[in-house]
Amino acid sequence: MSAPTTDAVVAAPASVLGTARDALGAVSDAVGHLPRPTRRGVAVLVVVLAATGMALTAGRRSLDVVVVAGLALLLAGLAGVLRVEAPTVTRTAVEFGTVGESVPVELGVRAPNDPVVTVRDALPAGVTGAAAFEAVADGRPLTYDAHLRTRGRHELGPAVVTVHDAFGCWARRFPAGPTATVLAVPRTRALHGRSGLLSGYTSVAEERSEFERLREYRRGDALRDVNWKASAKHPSDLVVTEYGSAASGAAVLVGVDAPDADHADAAAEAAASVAVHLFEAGLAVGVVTPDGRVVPARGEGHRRELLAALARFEAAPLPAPETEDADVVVRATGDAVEVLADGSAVRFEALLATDGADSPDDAGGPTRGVSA
Amino acid sequence: MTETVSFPVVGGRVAWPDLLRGGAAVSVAVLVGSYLAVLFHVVTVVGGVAAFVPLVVAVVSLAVLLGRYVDVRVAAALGAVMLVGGLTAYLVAVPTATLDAGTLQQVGADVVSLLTGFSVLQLTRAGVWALAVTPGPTFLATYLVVRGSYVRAAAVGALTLGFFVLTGDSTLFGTLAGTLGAAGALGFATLARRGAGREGVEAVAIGLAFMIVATAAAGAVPQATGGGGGSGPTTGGATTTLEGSLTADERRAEIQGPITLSPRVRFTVQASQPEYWRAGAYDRFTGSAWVRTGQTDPVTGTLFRPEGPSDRVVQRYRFRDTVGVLPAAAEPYRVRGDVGVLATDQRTIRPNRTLQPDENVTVTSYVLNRSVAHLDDAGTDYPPTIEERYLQVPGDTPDRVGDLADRVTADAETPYQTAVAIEKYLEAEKSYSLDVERPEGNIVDGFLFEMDQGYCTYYASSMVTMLREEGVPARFVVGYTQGRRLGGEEYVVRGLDSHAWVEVYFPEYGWVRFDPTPAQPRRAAERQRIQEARSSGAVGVDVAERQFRDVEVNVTTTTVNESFNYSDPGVETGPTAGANATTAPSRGPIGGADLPELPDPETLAVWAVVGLGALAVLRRAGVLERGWRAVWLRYQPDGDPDEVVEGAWSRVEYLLGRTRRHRYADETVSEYLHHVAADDRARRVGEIRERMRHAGHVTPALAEEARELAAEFVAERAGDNV
Repeated sequence: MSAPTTDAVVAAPASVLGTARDALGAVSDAVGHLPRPTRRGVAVLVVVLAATGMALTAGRRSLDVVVVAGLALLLAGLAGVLRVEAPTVTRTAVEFGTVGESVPVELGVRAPNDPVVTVRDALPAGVTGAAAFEAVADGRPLTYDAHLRTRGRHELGPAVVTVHDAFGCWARRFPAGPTATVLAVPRTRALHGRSGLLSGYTSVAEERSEFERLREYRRGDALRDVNWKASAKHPSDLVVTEYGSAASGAAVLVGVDAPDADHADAAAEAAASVAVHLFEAGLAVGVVTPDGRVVPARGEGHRRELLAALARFEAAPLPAPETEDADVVVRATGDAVEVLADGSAVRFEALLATDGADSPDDAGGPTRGVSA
Repeated sequence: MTETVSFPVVGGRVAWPDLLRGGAAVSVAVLVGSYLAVLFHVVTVVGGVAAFVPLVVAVVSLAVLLGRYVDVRVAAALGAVMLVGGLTAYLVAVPTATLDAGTLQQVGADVVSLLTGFSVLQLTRAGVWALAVTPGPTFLATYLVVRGSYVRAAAVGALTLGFFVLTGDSTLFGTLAGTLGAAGALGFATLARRGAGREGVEAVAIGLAFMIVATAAAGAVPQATGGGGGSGPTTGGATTTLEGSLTADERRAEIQGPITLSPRVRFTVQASQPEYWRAGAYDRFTGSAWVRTGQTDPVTGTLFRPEGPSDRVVQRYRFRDTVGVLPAAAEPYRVRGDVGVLATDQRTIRPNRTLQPDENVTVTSYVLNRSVAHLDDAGTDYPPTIEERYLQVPGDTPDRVGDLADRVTADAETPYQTAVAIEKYLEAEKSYSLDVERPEGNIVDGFLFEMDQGYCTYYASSMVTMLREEGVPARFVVGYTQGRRLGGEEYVVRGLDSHAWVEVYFPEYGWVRFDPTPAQPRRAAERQRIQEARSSGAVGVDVAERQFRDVEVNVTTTTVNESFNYSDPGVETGPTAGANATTAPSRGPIGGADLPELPDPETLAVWAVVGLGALAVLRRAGVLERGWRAVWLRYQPDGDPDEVVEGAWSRVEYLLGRTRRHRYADETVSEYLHHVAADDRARRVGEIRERMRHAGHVTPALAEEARELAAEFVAERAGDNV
């Protein structure tokens, strides 16, 4: 006599499982968002069917317990996922981020009786992240970092919530919940402080020592313009120094000419670097893109507008009138990004700070917004 | 909420993750336990408990130890090595097997027969087999639990249990427990992985409870989940017949409770002398059933002859009904007829198909001639193959069985005298009845010490066990008695002639029949049943073409040394003995019949799961909450006036919330009472509470007023609104 080494009941080939599951899946897709068995559920069903077959062909033994209990397990799970209410999904996401960096995203999924859920946030091309969660729908924060790979507006979501029974035999999908938009603005890179093409503009800003007058602080004023000594004498207000015409009148319009979609991102990055460089030098900076124009202005809020415009534009040649208007034009050609100013052109790389350090990320800082 | 939870608690809060992981581990343990119980039963029956328990402990310890350090692949390989190594060791241990291509073919055939219901207990070396297969899956499942891979652990356990379900060795209860364990492991693992809380535990409890209720409702589990039970096939009909229990499954004869006798004619037989028409022999006793071990192979040509002096007896069978056995006087030598013959390791024969009405089969047997046999001189020089197979006694047989056998056979000097003594003891001490409750546990112990009555299977099982306790090889034999004489040399055999008796082995002679069942009361019962059937006009009670009725006929069962008798055992046995005998505790139904018996722990555990599931359903339906609110509304706090007022107000506000609407967050109490048009009592309670809030205190009199008003308010409205 000898003994067996395997058990035939559960050892159904994976292909059979797969085929059965596909067939059931096709049926459930045809009828709508009905529960479908998970791989585990199909395995339980196969065990039940095999046990039934064995009981019919070779005697009952205690197989009927397996059959009845297995069916009860499947039915209880099915009833559970059929009864479950559509989960509500909340989403908290940062609206603004820089290409190459991550923004935090927080989801909350809630349904009565905290069913078992698998949550998968839909991520657009250009955003990556570990956006899948195995959880229960008790509203706990499900957080992940959305890594922004490309420039532009990215819509995160809607999250697909799959509700399971407690035993994980069934899955029912609920396309649920709000989406959120993240604007991925171009990276900015540190440029030479004074030399080169842009020094003509930045030097203007250096001359702002000409004191003009004091006035009340307004939104958008740079903090560095606050006259702290004077503010100390006015307890309720901040006082800002307004400089003479030479500086305040110095406005620069940076144009982006990106006829080629393949190089639009490089152009955007170069234009953002130039614009921020000038902006930080204290100039009023505007941008003109194939899509539109941001008029020159100063202030922290304006920096974000500049970057947003550079984040959004679509690749296109900059029309001639706009090119005329622009003081500095960033042009992406076949294999290089050029910066044109005062009639001369230089490759963007030549403007980069030699120490290689990127400018600190001050693309506006994360701002949280809630959408429900 | 109302529940207080007394689960593992950390810092006053339930540690749900620990609880869920614990639940998953316990579930896997139940599953593993359910198949270990099967193996434990095997080693209990055939011997090996002394090795089994340390083996399980060692394997589990090893798995726990390695769980922290060893990679999953290494552990899986180790488990596989244990299983394959164990089975190889088993093959080597089987004496008849040689490791060649034929063996491998045989292994394959054996696997198929095991999976189609060939009980592990039928393996010749079942004990070795059980010890061989225990380590592999047990190691792997334990290792996976230690690693937190509960679902994989459950898969290992389920495959193993599934195997024993297919072999028919897992009891209904064991299978249910294992299935629940597997499901619980799936559920708890799913939840633990996701950090679920109470709701998840509730969902699992509801699911498990539903499984239990469904199996009970579908009748898959006997309502009274008695101890072992066994999963022996039932006999088709709703009522158990003796014949069914003895002949339905050729490989296993289950000892039943109350049975009936079928008066239908099964066959007629012409034979030169009346004999017992043997159908099968069983060697292994489980305590509640007889199992035939070994193989059944087709044979052709001549079959068997007794070793001793024998007479040729030709039997011409004519079947009158469908019969699943091939009756033959022992020992069958040749079979002529249109049916294939299979021979068992016990040297008995089986037909290869069911025999049909009007079919004829001729069997030539050589029957041991007892009149010239000197059984008393046969000695005890038993062949090893006989000793190995026919001396087995279940390991859990109480010692008092052997003690009783010792006393009954105290004066017996030879195996023959031993057999006669036991036969006479049973015939004299027990009376014949078909209407007996099957005792729990070992039925021989139950019959000898707690029952006054029984029928043939009880007598025969007891005699075989007592003989084996005395070192005399014996076996349990089933078949039909001679039946009733139709005239001439023809006998008619009915379902009620099915019988169980004993064969004792004597060197140089072979198997010798003994029948410890008292013949007279048995025949009386059979006669009565035939008359009943005839008077009620039942079909098939008589052979149609015969004009005359059949008559009783005797067959000598006990021979020669009639003068020898059994020794007085010196102790009273039977149910009356319970009062003064210090016997082993028993859960027998007779001794404790007056007291409501506490269900055994397994049944209690099942009920606990059902109860938890029901509680969870009630809580989800809000019943618990409503029940608690109903109590809460009616029992207001005592003591501190501030508390009294707050208590009164919270009840009024709760009821208003149920009947009107809840108070908005930015609404003052008086605005709220005004907006919902509350009645004067509610307003007054609100007013007292406002006053207390502003003053910082309240007089006991006002507090009492608030309390009484609230009580009135509750009494009036609470009825339908809680």
